[in-house]
Amino acid sequence: MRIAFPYMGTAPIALQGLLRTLGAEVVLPPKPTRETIELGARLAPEMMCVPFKMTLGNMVRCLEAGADVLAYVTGSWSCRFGYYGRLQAQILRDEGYEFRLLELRHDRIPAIFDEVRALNGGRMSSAIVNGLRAFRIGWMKSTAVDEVETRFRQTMPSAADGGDCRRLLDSMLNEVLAADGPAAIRRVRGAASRRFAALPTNGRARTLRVKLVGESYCVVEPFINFDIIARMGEMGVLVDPFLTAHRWLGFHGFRLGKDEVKRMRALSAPYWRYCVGGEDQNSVGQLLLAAQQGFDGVIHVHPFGCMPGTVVQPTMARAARDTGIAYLPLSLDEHSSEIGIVTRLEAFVSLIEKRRRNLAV
Amino acid sequence: MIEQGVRLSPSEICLPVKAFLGHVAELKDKVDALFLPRIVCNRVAGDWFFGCPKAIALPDLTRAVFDSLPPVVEPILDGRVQTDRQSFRATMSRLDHSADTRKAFSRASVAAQSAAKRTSEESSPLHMFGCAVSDRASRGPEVKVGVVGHAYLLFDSGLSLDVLDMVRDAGARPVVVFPTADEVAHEAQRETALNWYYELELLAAARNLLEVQKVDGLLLVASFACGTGAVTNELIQREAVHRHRVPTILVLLDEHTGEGGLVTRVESFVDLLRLRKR
Repeated sequence: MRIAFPYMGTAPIALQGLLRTLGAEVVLPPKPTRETIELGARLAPEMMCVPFKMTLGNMVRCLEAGADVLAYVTGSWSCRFGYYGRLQAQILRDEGYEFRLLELRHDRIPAIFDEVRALNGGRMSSAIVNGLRAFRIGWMKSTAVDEVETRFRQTMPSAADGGDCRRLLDSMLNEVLAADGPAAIRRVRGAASRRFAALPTNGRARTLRVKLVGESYCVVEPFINFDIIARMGEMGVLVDPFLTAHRWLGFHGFRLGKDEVKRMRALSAPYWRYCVGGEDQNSVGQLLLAAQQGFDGVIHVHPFGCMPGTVVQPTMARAARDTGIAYLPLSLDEHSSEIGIVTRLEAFVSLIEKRRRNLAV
Repeated sequence: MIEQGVRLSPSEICLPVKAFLGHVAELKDKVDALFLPRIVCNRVAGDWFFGCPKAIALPDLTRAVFDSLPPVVEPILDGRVQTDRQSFRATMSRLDHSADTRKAFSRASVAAQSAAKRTSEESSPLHMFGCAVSDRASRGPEVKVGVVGHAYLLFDSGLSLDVLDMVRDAGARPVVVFPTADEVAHEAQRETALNWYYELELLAAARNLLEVQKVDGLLLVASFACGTGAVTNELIQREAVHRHRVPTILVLLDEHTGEGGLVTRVESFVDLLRLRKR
């Protein structure tokens, strides 16, 4: 079975390790380009959100590379994400591609387990052993990626050469992807802090801190958000995303840790009383938390036309007004222009710099 | 009123929500309380189906948009958490209402049930809404145009600019179907069922129009930036074009939609259908 799945950011590094250990062959699409997204946008409904178009483009690339099983997390809730698998499968079949659709949903767990058993020659015992091994490898790789990315975010604002810092990130991520056993993964992970600390610094002592909130795909996928974390890093701003690929890979409800979910719910309660998807409640809660923790600003990203993302905007604006934190909403899609976004980011940075100086006086 | 709503709204939101905020602006200083139910999900054929996120979040949106509001009465209708009866009583107790809530609720449920039963009968006038063709343009064969769209758009002349009349004036017969409960339940049980209950109604309506009414063309009406509509209309168009060879046209409405442009599109669609029939 040659399996492909929709992904964002660095999530496939861990997923590939996990699925390989289970015995499946993983087809990863090439790095996303403008063509990928245009391909997706051509096949997708016009009013669909940009993560759909992007993942659809990626799936076409995977099918061209020989994938024969497409795996999707699906389900029924109010956001469109739960429906991606079924609609993309229909679109791709109408385009003439042949494949099997594997729906990962909570009411199909026995069927998913049967898939794993079939991969292990139908033997229950080896399926269980391999399943546990796969989970361990996936978890270790994910933690290693998270460690590398965290060091990168912290180093970037004070790095003398942003390019060096980016290159180190890429090469370390490749090392995690290539690492084939627990020992190798541990080695890469252990070296992260030393290797990033060894980069020459520009002597900047204080950095501005910005919280990145919003819809998960836009937060985690650098191609869609114009690499906002690295870009702001080069402007000397430390961007702290509320969600990373590592955290996203945990289960939806648990991934932020139970206490954090409760805390977000309590914090956002005066403004937002019912979670409708698209990380709305988390975004409001994280904005209020960032204000409490003394962040300099909050950036809210969401796909154009995202249902929860648009309806939460006035609430975000009001919460920002009430707490006095600087707030920048960005709506992203396949037509967003890099220059337009960069100009707005630069204006935002000079605004928060000025505010910081005024506060210091 | 729509203009006022547009000024208050976030720029990317759909037309019905803008109209809703306009309504609230109009009403809020004239009333003692606002009634904004939060309708989260519905059970169809044993499964939960959800409302649109924007509709679920309306009370929160309203609070964020307006600086001053009268008290908001906000019953939460989420069958996964509480029954409708519990939610009704919780709301009433918050209102400090002394009337007999139990009796009121059971009277309301009986009324709702009988209404649901009556509208789901085939003979109900709501089941199929067909308008007569205006005599001024009835040359050539009769053309039946199935119209699929939410009732809140189609039957609000402020939002849809009376698109049904446009079809009639173009010399075709517009047909709108309100599916029966059975048809909706059937739609809910399909392998590719949608997640939203009111979109199931549109799918069932489109299926009825294609398979029972045998319409010559489908006119899909949706609002710009409607998230669920993007999925539903895609499914309906794929079904109509690939399986039934029936032409479709998708009309997206927002506050900038001009009547003239819409009339031209509807007329040329009807002309196309008439040519195909010859």
